[in-house]
Amino acid sequence: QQAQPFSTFQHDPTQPLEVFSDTLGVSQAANTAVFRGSVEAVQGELTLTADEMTVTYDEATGDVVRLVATGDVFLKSLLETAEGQFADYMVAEGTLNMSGDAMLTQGNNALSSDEMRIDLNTGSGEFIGRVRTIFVPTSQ
Amino acid sequence: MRGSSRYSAFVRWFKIVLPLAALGLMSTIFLIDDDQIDLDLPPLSELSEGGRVTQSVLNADMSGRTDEGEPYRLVAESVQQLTDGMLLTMPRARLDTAEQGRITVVSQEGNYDGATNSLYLTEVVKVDVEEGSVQLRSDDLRIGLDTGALSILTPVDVEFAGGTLRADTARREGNLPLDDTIWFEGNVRLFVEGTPPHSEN
Repeated sequence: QQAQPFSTFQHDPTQPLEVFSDTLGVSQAANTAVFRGSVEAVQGELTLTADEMTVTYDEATGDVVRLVATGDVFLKSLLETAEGQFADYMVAEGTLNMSGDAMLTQGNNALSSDEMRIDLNTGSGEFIGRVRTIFVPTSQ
Repeated sequence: MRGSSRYSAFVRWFKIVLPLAALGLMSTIFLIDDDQIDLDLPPLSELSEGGRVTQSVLNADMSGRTDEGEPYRLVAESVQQLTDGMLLTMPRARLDTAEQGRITVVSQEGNYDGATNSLYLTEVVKVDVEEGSVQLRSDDLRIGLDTGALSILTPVDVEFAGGTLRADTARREGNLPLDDTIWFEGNVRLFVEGTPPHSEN
């Protein structure tokens, strides 16, 4: 029985967060932190990899407000992988928009579309634009 | 990631550890130009013009206020005047800032180069920033006192409340305020503790 699509993409802030990259540029004036080169962000069972990841934060509170990842972006959970060329995560809303050959794979099955929107709070999501589905029938 | 206080430490450290930019503030302490240190002190007043200097000021202790009115203090076991600069042994600098609290910088040796107006700290450089309990450790640190250029060519360890950052080197170009970006380079690893369940807001 396949899990509901997107259901395993749920964020767990109680887990530590680790970010690895080649370089990190921190700018107080721009309120940003830019991770570049083989970026990998791991928190609990979620792993985000990309060429570059820019974190923008609120000047007053220092809270993360937005996270933009570009270049071969993969968001992986134990059972699913969402990929695209661009990902935009609005932290307050908890929504992650992926675009640029967006595709969700679950086991042998895959769904692709122009854009995907994932709600990391509820583990739900929707495809935007023409959706192409590839189902590999399980052996009888 | 939404609203978890510990998670916001993920970037709060950026806001707080950015006092690395405060390192530029520290440069105001090291503005050891002629009118900062009383050159009329006996040992220094007999300096021959341009000659090789051997005298030094022992237990130098200098304090004052920065342009922003923040009190600072610089002590060193010895300050040896060089042809165009100064050699400081065991320099300790402290700056009480409004925004980040007390910032202290300590190293075994400090070399102030008057020609480039830069300060080169070596051998176990420690920078502590009260706000956010930020601690930076490296084995060298060069600051351009008027350009704000910064370079650390040895491994950098930054610890802050709730996490750590490590990198092989760090640098900032010297064109403040246009670009204040501090680049950590090589094997960058940021770790931020998770948010305890009960404290989620």
